[in-house]
Amino acid sequence: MTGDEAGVGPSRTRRRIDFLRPVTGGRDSAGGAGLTAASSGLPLEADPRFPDWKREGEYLYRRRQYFSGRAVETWPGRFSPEAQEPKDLVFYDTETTGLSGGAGTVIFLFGAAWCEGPDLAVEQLFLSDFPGEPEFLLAVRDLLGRHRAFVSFNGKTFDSHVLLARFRMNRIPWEPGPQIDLLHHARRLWRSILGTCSLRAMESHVLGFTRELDVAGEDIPLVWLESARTGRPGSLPVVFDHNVMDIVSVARLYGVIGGLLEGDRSSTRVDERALGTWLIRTGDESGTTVLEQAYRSGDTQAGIALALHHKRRHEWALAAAIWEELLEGSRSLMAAIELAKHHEHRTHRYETALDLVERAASWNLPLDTRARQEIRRRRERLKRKLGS
Amino acid sequence: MLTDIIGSLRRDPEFMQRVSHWEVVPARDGKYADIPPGVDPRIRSALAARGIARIYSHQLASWNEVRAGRSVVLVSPTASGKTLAYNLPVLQALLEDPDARALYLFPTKALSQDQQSELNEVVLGGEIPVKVFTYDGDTPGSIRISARDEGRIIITNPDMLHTGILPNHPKWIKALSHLKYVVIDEMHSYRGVFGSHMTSVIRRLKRIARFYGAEPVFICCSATIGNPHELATRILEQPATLVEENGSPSGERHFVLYNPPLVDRVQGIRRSAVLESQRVATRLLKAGVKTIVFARSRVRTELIATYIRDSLKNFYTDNHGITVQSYRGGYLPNERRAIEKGLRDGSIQGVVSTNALELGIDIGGLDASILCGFPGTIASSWQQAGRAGRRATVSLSILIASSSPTDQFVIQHPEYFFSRSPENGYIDPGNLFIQTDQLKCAVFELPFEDGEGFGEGVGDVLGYLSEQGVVRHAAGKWYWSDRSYPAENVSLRTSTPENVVIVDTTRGRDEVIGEMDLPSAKLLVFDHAIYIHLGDQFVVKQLDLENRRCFVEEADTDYWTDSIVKTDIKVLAVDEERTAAGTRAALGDILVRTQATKFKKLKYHTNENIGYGDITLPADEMHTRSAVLLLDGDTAPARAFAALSDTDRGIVIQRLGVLLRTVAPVFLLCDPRDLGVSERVRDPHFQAPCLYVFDQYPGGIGLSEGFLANLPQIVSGARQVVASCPCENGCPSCIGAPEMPPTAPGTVPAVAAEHQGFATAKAAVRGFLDTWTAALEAASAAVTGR
Repeated sequence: MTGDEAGVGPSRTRRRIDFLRPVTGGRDSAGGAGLTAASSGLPLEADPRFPDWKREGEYLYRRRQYFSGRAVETWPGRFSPEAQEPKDLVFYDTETTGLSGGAGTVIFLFGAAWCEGPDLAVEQLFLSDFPGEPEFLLAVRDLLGRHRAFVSFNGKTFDSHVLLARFRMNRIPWEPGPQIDLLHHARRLWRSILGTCSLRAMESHVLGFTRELDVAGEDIPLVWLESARTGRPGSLPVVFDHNVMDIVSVARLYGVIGGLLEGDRSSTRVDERALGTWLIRTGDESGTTVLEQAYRSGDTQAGIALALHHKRRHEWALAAAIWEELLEGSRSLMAAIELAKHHEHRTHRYETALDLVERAASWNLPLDTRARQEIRRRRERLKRKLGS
Repeated sequence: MLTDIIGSLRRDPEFMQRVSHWEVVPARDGKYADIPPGVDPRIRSALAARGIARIYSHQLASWNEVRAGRSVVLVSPTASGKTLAYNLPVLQALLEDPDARALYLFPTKALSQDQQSELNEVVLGGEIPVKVFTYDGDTPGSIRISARDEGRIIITNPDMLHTGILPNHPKWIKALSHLKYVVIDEMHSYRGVFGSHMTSVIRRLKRIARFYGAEPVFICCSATIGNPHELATRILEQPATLVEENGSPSGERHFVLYNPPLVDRVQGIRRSAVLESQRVATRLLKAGVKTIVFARSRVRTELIATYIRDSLKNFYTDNHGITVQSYRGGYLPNERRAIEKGLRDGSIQGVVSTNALELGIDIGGLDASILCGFPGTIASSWQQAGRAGRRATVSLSILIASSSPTDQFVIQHPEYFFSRSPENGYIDPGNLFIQTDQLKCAVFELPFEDGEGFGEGVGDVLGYLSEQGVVRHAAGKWYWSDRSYPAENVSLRTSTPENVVIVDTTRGRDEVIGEMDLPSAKLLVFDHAIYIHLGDQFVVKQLDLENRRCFVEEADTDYWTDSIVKTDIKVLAVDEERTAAGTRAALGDILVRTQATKFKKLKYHTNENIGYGDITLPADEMHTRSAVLLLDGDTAPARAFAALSDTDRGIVIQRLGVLLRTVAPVFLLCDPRDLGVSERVRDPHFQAPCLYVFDQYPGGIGLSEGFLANLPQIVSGARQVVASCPCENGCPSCIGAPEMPPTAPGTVPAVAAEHQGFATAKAAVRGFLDTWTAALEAASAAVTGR
């Protein structure tokens, strides 16, 4: 077993979770996440409406904040082969004028975060009204262009499509880079435990906090549209911070999932079978240990997956042992058939094999015709072999 | 076979007595041309594989135009090879230019599927490397991306173009940047509201294509209507060459106008067209003639099919092998496909359909078509008749008149029916409601520049939308500034896009058996209604409007149900009051509330009324345009009206409504169903006796305006109808019969009081119209005399 080397995990993950400690004190902007923005140190052009933003164009604003936390030192390349080191990655999130997509949905706030030494830099671009979209998009492209792979939560389905549509409609050439959508990974690891896998659910169950001051996603378009019409910021500051919290949560979640892949499973409860299978698929043998743990703690499906893994590696004895164990406690058709195959083709103990098939047939499981036929054929073949 | 039955019908004195006219259209030879030399050998061999060595002259004409980069309008009856007329140049161009794309638009999903299988045959049969995808509401998500990126020919419908493709155009960049051809088939169906929307959808398509640098050539196909070229150019808003000559051959056609016998000469009641259609269809089917019956409503379709099956059952044992199916919208797609296939392969010999089969769905050739009732337009009549007859064989069509005045007018005026060119297709893209809705969608798709065109008065509409807050003007452009997705809330068709799903719950089942649009559901599948589906009877247990579900259970009843609809009207705004045809009249906006409050139970075959029930459903509201005749003041008709007794006033104004509603469509070239009529002896708004004639479409499509403009002809036409009607005291062919006043279909039969007054009704209406038209003639004589 090779999984033992993952034992160094816990400390590393701790460090990742430290991400969120603010670098400097300052305005406690958004409560729950403990977000504390520091002055970006950049000169601010005066716009009383958006005091902590730097105005870069008639309709374009930028602000940068830093959050403390150790950057990820060794990078799990399995997320994306393009991202070999932390600075290759950019975490991003967009806020839009509509939630159903389509050509009339405009991005008015783009937030991106990346590792800078020990800190997480969060930069936001804000479009204050429609006519500034081309310059806004050029700035977005410039920001994204400094990184190789894009990490988001639901970006594969929504944000990247809206981005692409905006670039196309403004005739600005742009190709989206490799997308790492944490929503997919979150669903894999936590859906069986949490049911819902929204970013909010991740925050409360995985990252361990709840937001106190926030704006509902469906109201965000209204806040901006109102502000563009009236020229007053209204609740926009809440939307700005919402966007920061989203990005920081995406970055922290990345750290947690990275930690899980690195072998640290102490911080959060996950679907170990899913994690083990995922590890094995990425070629990480520690997945075997994970599956075994899951199996030993009573997950028979994990046992089936584990046996299948042994079978693929031709570790017949290990596989057969699990199948036998499975058959002791339950009526596992798969274990019975696999074990029968094993005895038929490898140990040539036809009687044991036939016995297994007969046993499986006697359970009268609700099977489809194909499975039924397969059992019948196997039984007939074994009988023939025994007869000759 | 068909020649024999035609002969036997001709020799049948009883049948011939009811025939008011028998038209024979002689056979026509085909005009052929060689396949043009430029055609790709792969296409040639695909054609050869289907036995096509030469093409028709109109196919060549359309090829020449399209190859020269000109848009065309092809007028093509059923089975004239219109599909090849557009597939030939399109496939050729797609083979020449590997980037080129084409978009095919069909009004229904069924037609799209038909075209997909047609193209598959050509493309796969001849190994032509052109990928064809159908992209509509039924396309699974997994196929959508490849359809967008790889489809060289995208088959879709205007609704999907409107809600799915155009609002998401950046995803369609590959197809739209190289959009070379747009095929619009069944062009004639884009009339009225649908057509007005269509103009804007095409504007939006051209606008987006232009944005991506494409300028497609349009190929439109239309059935024979009065103004195919005008309709096409109004929808395309650009020139297009008309290709009208049809080079395909056709066999001899017999068209018979048939009037069912009078069963009550005094009241002018004829034997029901439904029963008569069943008799004639049964006779044809028994003689081995493949027959299609067109009925005017879903309920009638089911009734006729049931009656035909019943009558065949009486004569034959089940194994005799005549299968008759009903066909209409609302069946499940696989049910419809099975019927279409059965008709093509001959396993179904008879079909009863709504106008759903009037369009070009491939059902192969049938021998005879029966039109149960005048379909409302000459164009539809020919389309439906065209369903009978293969290329070189004799065909028979029989129009069976109902007792309705329009039907009786048509059947008694064969010269009118046969000489009249098919109706014009009218559209009004300037309709403010349509234009506003469409402009919202267009702004969503691409901001508007100041001064950019999109129909008339764009600036004003944009200004209005900006006041509403959904559009924002900034730095010389108009931007969509609302979080909604406007196309979702704009339906191209009159019915709401929402459907009610019909669920069979018999013995714990939970199975979707059909669907129905929401407004129809309120009138047809209310609680306790009988719902007939493919000949099976169900009783509605519950219509759950909120969840758009209707729960039904199998039933075995001897009756069907018909709802009684109540309509009331509220005046919203009067735009103008003027004199028309010598009467005071007004034009304005009204709100029409329609509500079914009761239903009748009608016995099968006899239509005896065997009971009533209550319906408790919310009303439908429609904001529309109306013409109002005001019978007060110092005008000839007002004086004539005032001179009537109190009883007669009520009768005259109501009967006049019935009469005008059926006469006006002849002059307005619309369907009677496009017009609503409502009368009030003392109108609370105008404080006068009023007759409202309104557009049955939200926002109106100009019929009310047309009604006033044509009022002199309509009034004298109405007078002529009454004067020449042979009935004694009013009949369904003029001012309506006492037992079935057609103003409000399905109202409670006339009460005794009305029945008494009715003896004088016809005389009263006639007297009133005589006075009115005399005044009109005097006025026009005075003008001419001067």
